[in-house]
Amino acid sequence: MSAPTLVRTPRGASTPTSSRASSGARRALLPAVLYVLLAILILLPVGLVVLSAFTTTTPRPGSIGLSGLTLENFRAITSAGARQAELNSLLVGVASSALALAIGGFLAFITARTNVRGRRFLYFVGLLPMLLPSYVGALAWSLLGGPNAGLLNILARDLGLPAVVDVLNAFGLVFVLAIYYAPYAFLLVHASLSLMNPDLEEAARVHGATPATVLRRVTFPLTTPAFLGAGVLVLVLTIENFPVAQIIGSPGGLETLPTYIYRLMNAAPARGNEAAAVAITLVAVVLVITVVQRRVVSRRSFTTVAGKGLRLSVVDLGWFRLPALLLGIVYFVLSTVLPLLALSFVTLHDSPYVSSVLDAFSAGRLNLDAVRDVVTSDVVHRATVNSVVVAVAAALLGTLLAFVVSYVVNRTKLPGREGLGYISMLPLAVPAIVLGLGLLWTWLLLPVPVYGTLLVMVIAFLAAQMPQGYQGASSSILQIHQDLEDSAVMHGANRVRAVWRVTAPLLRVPLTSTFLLLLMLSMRELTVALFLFTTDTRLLSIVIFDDLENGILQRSAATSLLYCLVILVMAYLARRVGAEPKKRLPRPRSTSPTRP
Amino acid sequence: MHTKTLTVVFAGATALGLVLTGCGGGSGDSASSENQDDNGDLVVGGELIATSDVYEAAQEEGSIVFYTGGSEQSEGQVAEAFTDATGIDVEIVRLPPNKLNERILSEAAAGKLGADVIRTSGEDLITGLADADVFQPTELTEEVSGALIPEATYEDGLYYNSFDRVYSFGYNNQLVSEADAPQNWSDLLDEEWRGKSAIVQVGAGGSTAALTRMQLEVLGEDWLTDYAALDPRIYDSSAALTDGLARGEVSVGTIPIATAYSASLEGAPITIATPEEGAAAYPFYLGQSSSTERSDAATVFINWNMSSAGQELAASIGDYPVREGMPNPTIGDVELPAADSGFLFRASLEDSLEHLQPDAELWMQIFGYTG
Repeated sequence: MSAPTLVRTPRGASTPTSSRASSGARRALLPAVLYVLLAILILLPVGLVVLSAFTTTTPRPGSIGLSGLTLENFRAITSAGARQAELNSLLVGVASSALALAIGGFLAFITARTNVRGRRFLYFVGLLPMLLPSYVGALAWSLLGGPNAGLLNILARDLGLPAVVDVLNAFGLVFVLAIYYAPYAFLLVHASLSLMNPDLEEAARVHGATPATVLRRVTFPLTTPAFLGAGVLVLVLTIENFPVAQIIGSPGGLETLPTYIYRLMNAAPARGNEAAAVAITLVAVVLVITVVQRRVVSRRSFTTVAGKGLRLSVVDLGWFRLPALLLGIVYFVLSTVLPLLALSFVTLHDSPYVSSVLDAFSAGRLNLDAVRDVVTSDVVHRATVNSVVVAVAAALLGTLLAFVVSYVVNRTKLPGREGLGYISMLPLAVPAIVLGLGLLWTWLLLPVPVYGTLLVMVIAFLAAQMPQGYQGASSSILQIHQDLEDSAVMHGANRVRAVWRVTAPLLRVPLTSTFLLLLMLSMRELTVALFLFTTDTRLLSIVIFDDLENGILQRSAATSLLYCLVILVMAYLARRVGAEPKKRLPRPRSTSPTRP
Repeated sequence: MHTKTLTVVFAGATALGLVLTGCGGGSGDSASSENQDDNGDLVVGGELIATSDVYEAAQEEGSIVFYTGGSEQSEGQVAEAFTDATGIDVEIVRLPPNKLNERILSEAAAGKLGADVIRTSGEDLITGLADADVFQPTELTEEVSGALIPEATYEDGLYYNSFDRVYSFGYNNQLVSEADAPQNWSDLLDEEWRGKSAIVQVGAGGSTAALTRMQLEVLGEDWLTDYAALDPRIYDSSAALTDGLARGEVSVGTIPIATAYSASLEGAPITIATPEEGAAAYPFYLGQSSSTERSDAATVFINWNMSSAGQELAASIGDYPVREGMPNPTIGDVELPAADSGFLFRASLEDSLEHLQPDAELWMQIFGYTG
């Protein structure tokens, strides 16, 4: 991989003789169009949330305006409940990020740089939970670890043992968030460790450092940006996570900022203005974290990527080779095996209410009724089609938009291009639940009849995932030298044709992985869509969540299994159709945060 | 090759566009019903539900989308019985009344209301929906309307009270033996239930508002304070609480009788208490949406719900009918006390609206609930 080169383009080459004025207008056209697009997609929703935090009426058609300006809504922030939610969010976020970093970092290290047993298997173990949406994991763990009716506790009771586990509290929330966000840390740290310049370690060894010293003084310090990036990413994601907090935290009375916002929105009558005020607090928290992280990383330079072929030395784990594998297996069991078993068991059990785990097997109380109900359900069929259509459309359009914006920002000197980059990154600081709220109000207000269609979902996902798309596209575009495209222009092609015939083909592989990333993010998304769906436009994630809220746990579990299967198939197909995007997506250089 | 790729992309985009903007319509199910008399009128249990022209049009329409705040299980039984009687399909969209309300208002404001018929509880919610012009009047047949108690009809038929559901409490009969089971509200204050009981947050809908009103009025504020001191788990909706109770996450909890009874018919190990102090009754209002394109099917559905067949079904799962001369509700072998026996606590619409806000604030303060 070559280091990114600076853009240095002789501008005159592409615009030879046309008149200055019309060329100026033409030059401004594309950025203007993009500004309008991004303003509608991103700025308007965020603006509406801010506006409604300062007014007394919830934005609905016919009831928007600047009348009734007030600061009263911000009293909601300082209420005892909100303060507790703020504190909980911070504590849970920090604790679960630390744990996720520990798990992800450990797995990354042993799979990237050691002779641990079962390396390939452990790499797979580290990635696998990515395919399991965090709230499906939370649902499974609430089935497994409820203090009284959790399957693990029922099993313990069957065996004459006391209750063994209770996840419906702060510790459970930290645990579940950590195991499902560990893959993000794993990916970032793994990429950093395996793309490291071996010369630096070699130099240390030549000068007599022991392997342990090399690790301590060279290897680990070089992964600092990856660790910091992963830490901030996971911190932001866990703080803004809604569904896991709702499923695991709320039953135990543990409120976080996102669940608090959700509750205000669902109060009767809805308290949307206070929700908006609390939402702004959440955005502020996330912004502060992002700024701190950028400060820390930008202070030093951490060069890790070299152009030469790499052969990294392998660290000998010695007696720890097997225990390391066992630790990896423990993570595998907790993150994937047990949850899938729990979902399958509840799905197959003949009654939604399980009183004994062992009896269910001995008395033959398992059948496929619930599976059949779900597979033949019209609602589920429609939701599956909706999910796939929305995900594919959002990923296609998202990749396209991200490519165009990123091209304008990185490869042109068009006026106002930097602003486009900032707007594209903005949704990162806006938690999904807040963005969802803003998107709802936006599309209810705009006189375009898209609310109630799948299009509004696509739009929502486009907005929510713009940062990931933009970052993916940018890092790909920066890899390709400007000269290639310019020489096509020199030989007579116009700019569009040069992009289409030269740059785009070269970008096929990286753009495919951007597409794949957006596809997976869209398939897993629940929160942004939560306020936007209507009866005809329910997605699989929504159907699962609805059933869960309606106390129909068995169907929820059965649909979750189907959902995981659909995600798996789509991931497989997308990989088959596209290029092999091996270890591609997060580049260690940029500390790129991604939303789940 | 590039042209080919381009064509494929465009074809895909066009197909996608079609799927995105239009959604599949319902299937027309025009199965003729055995309940039609010689004139083609729909007659169930000797009662005229719909005249032949209305019924034929309804069959043509084939199905309805039913937004409801009632429990999935109880509404499932209603839908099944209605489809059996009329051949018209019902698609249920169930949400707790508070969320349903926001959904309906948003959809209606955008001109996208998906509901043909709406059933929900909560006096503030139903009047709010009516004020937002969500409903249009439904004409009942003379036989159906003639048998209703006068209080069941609101605003000249804009919406109806379809039955009174009753909020009581229950226990998981696998975890709690009959001998140890709480019989009355006062028993719920026993230290034994610390951390094992549950209640639904006050803002969930008309149900919880009515329960809170009853608890404050009949049991007193001290009862609520003492109950809150036992650290009950607070659920978001009665459906979720019923599930938690059935699975044994909690041992005792407040539940709407019909919700719990419907769940018990599907195997939930829940026994329902009929406490001496009484229980809270709250209306479930029913009306057809002003934007429905299946007005005939919606009309048939509402007529059937208010007819003796619909009301008997309600009574059979523990709801109190709104027709004259109907049997007392039953839950299995247990017959609930008569409506006028003093068992039911019922607040008037005005009373409910007046106390709604202060009750909710007091409740949240007592339970330390955020908001």
